[in-house]
Amino acid sequence: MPPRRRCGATSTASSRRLPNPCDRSTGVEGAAVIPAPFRYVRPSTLAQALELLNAEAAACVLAGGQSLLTQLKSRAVTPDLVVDLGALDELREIRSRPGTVTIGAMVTFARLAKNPVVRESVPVLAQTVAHVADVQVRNRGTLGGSLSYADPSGDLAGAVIAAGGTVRLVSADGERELPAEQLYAGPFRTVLAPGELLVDVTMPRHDTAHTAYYAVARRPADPTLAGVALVATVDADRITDIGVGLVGLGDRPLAAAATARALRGQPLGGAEAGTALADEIAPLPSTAGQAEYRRAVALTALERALRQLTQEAAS
Amino acid sequence: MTDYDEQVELDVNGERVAATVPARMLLVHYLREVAGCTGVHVGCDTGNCGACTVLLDGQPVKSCMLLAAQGSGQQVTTVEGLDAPCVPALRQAFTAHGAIQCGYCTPGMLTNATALLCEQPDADEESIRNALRGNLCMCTGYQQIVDAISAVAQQGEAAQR
Repeated sequence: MPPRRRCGATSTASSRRLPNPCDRSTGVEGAAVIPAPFRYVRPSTLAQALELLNAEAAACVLAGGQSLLTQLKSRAVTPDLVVDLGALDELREIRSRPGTVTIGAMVTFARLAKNPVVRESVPVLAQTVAHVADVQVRNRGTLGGSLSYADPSGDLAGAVIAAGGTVRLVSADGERELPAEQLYAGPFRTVLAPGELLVDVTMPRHDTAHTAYYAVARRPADPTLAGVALVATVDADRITDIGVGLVGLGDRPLAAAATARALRGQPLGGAEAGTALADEIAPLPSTAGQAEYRRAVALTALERALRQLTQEAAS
Repeated sequence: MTDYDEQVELDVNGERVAATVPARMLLVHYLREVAGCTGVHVGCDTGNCGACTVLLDGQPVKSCMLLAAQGSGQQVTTVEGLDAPCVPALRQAFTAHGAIQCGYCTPGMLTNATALLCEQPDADEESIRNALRGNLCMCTGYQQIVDAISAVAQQGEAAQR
C-alpha cells in the first residue's frame, strides 16, 4: 500500500496504481465480504446496455445494488460482468399522462416517497416505501431493481400489483408488457429472459382512490412476514372496486383476486375477507417466520389494512 | 485471481481523488485506503449497521453497499468533511449528552443526523428515530443519541445547506 493520505490534507491527487486491498477477503467465520473479481461496465445509453446484456450470458445487472452488493460480497453470485445502469438517466423519469403514471426502473425508493406525482396519483407506493429498510438503503434502492430481485417479501411489488401496474420488459430484440404479477416465476425468479431488462412500470392514476399498506415485521425495516396493499374505489361507503397485493405470503408477490372479489360491494367500515384470503395464500417457511405464523398474521394484516383504508376515507 | 482495473475519480470532501483500483472495490475501502478517510468505519460489512454512512451528492448512503466505481464523478462527504451549519452544534450536543460511548458508530450517526437536520432542521423525535433506523449502536446508546440530535433540532440552529 502507498502511504495513506491524511483525509483533507492537501495534495495533488494523481492516478496511482495500488496493491490490491481486495485480497483481504475473509470476514466473520471466514465468510467472504469482498466480491470475487468481475469486469465492470457503465453504459451511457439503454441501447448500449441491452447490447451488452445480449452479448454476455453471465452478466449481472446493477441497479441500486442494495440486494446485489450483498450477493456479490457473500459470493452467492460471481458474474463475469457487472452492467451498471447508474448512468441511464432515461430510466430515471417519472411521466404523468392522462390516466396513467409511468415510473422508470432506476427511480429510487426515496424519490417514490417524495415525488409529488407519485404521492398524488399512486399514493400506495409512497405509503409502502415507509416500510422498506432505512434512509440509506432508500436513497440507493430502485423500483426496477426491487421488482426484478423478486423477493417474495419485497414490499414494493405488493403495492405495484394492488395498483394494477404493468411492467415493460425490453431487450435488443424488442419489448413486451406484462401485468406486474406475471413478472414472477418463483422465489427470487422472474420471467425475464437473458438480455431482457425491466425498464419501467406503468400504473393507472388513482387520484381519488383510497389506499393502504400494512406490513407485519419483527422490527421496523426487517423483512416483511405478511404485507397487504390495498387500492380501493369507494362510493357511498361501499367498496366498488379494489386491488389487493400480498407479499410474504407465497413463493412470490401475489395478486389476491379472490380476496378482491370478496371485498367488492362490502361496506367499507365492516369489510372482511379472511376466508378468501386464507384460501389464496401459501406462505413459505423461512428463518424470518414459520408458514403457520405468517398465515395467522396475514389475517391481522388484512384487517389492519382495511382499518387504515376506512380511517383514510373518513379523513 | 485476475482483477479487472477501473479508473475511479471522486470528489472527496472537496478534493479530487483519482486512482486505478479493482472494479470490485467497495466505496468504503476506497474512502479508507485510497482517500485516507479512516473516519468512515467498517462495522458489519453486510449493509446493516450504518457505521460506513457517507453523503453521496448530499444523500446518506452505506458506502459498503456501493462499488467505488459507481461513485465515479460524484461528490462524497465523509465525517471528516461535514461542514453543514448544524455540525458544530451536533458535535457539541453528542459530547454533552453522552451520545458517544465507544465511538464506533459515531461517524455514521453524525453523518446521517447532519443530512436529516439539513433537510428538516426542526425534526421531532419520531423523525429522528426513523432517520437513524439504519444506524446501529452496539453500546445501545440510542436514547442519548436521540436526545443529542433533538437538542440541536430544538435550538433550530440547523440552517439549510
